[in-house]
Amino acid sequence: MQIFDPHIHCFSRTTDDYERMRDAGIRIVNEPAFWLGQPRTSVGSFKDYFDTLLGWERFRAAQYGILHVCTLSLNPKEANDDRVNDAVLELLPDYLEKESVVGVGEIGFDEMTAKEDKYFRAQLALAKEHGLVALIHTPHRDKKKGVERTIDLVLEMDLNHDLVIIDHNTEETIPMVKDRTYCWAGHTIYPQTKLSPERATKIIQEFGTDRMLINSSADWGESDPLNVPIAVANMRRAGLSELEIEKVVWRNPVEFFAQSGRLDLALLDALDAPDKSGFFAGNTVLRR
Amino acid sequence: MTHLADTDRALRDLLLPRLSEAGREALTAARHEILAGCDDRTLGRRFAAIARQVGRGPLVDGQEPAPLAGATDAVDVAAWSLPEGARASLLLAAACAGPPAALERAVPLYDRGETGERIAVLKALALLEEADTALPAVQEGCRSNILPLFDVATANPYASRWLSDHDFNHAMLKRATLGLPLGLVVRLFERGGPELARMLLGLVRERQISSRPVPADAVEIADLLAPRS
Repeated sequence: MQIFDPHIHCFSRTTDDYERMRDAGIRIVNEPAFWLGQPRTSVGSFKDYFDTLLGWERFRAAQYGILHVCTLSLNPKEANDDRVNDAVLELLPDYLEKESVVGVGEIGFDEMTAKEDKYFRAQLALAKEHGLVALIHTPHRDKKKGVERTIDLVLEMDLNHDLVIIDHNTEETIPMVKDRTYCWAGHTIYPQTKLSPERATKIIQEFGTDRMLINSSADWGESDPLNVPIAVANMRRAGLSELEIEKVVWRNPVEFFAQSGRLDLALLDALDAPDKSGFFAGNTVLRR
Repeated sequence: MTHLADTDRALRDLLLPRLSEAGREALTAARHEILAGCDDRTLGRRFAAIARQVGRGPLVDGQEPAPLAGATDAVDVAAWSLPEGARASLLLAAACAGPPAALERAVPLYDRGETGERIAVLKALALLEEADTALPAVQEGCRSNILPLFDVATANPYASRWLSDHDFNHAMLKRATLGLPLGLVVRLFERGGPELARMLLGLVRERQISSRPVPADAVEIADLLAPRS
């Protein structure tokens, strides 16, 4: 079964992880721009980070036959930082034109400050302007209120729900997303702070597979880039059909991100036989 | 009389028949904007978007095209993609628009470009004005370990013409280290000499000592660069 992990921070993972991911059936990853674990103090750090996601990280993934795409943004935490916030918003529109960029994200609330609200709105507007989907992070503290405020904003701005995913849902927040919107809903399988595979499976069993995605959000913390394949196994044991599982881990993320007009599945063929001498965008480096 | 106008026309003759109506319109509109004079930011956005607008696929389909005339070398475009051709066409429009030189505008385009754009910039440089203005872009490409990007940075006529002897030798050594062929590098035997031969043979020796693969053409090229008696 082919797997698309729609939210993973490969920047913080080693090539061992890429190798294991490929072996486990992961063919596409989407990496949302996020913070680096400690504050960036200038816009140059953001530019270099964006360049890394588009360049080195995409190349690293290609060496293991994985198509790496990304969403870019000023993340919720650093929206509060006047050293960078305006400058990143100034830089962002140029980067949203890049081919590897399949959306704006991750954006949203962290502690629900006025500044977070301001830059969240501005980036939702940018997504609309550039015809890109929006990947919305929901807070890990005071989450229910954060999701409530997020939904309020999506409705207030009259966004097209087809083009929005509200991520990191739990048993408490998914009913809110389903009742008030028809947005796509992401579920993160991550120890301690987010869902277990079992809980994610139960949510899918209860709410169905329509517009439902799962991801690992694997980063530099205690996390596992194989959590989506692990969840696949869990869903099988719980009795979901292969078609239902494939919908959640492949067809849904493909359909969601394809809406931005940049996701090219033809690239997967070129990546199918990586020889580590360089396959990129369908061109072999060894052509004479 | 420079080659710029003729090369611009020759490239358009290759491109236009290969594009859909929408692709032709997009290319023509972007070129008009550049010819009329636009800022670097606008150039950057058109340069980024044009790939999507012209679509994938090779620049030429079937017969081998004549090389395009460059400032100091002819440029073989047989292996170019449509987006690379379209992006070169935008840079040629910038060259025909007058100051600043297209080479000068190429450096920030490279800096702000993602990998596909950077490759297109490097491939187009030899078609533009005759000056070393864009060398910073080539030097950055030479430092990259993104293999397709590094390959183009080091195996193109502009690099062969303008890299210093030191940088040229190190670029060739790094190619050999990364398993990339040397034989196709333009002006290899004009730029390389006994020092490059020494460096390549040093690499061969290191690989032999460590029982690791020896680069296929390193010995042959080293011998041609500085025949051992």
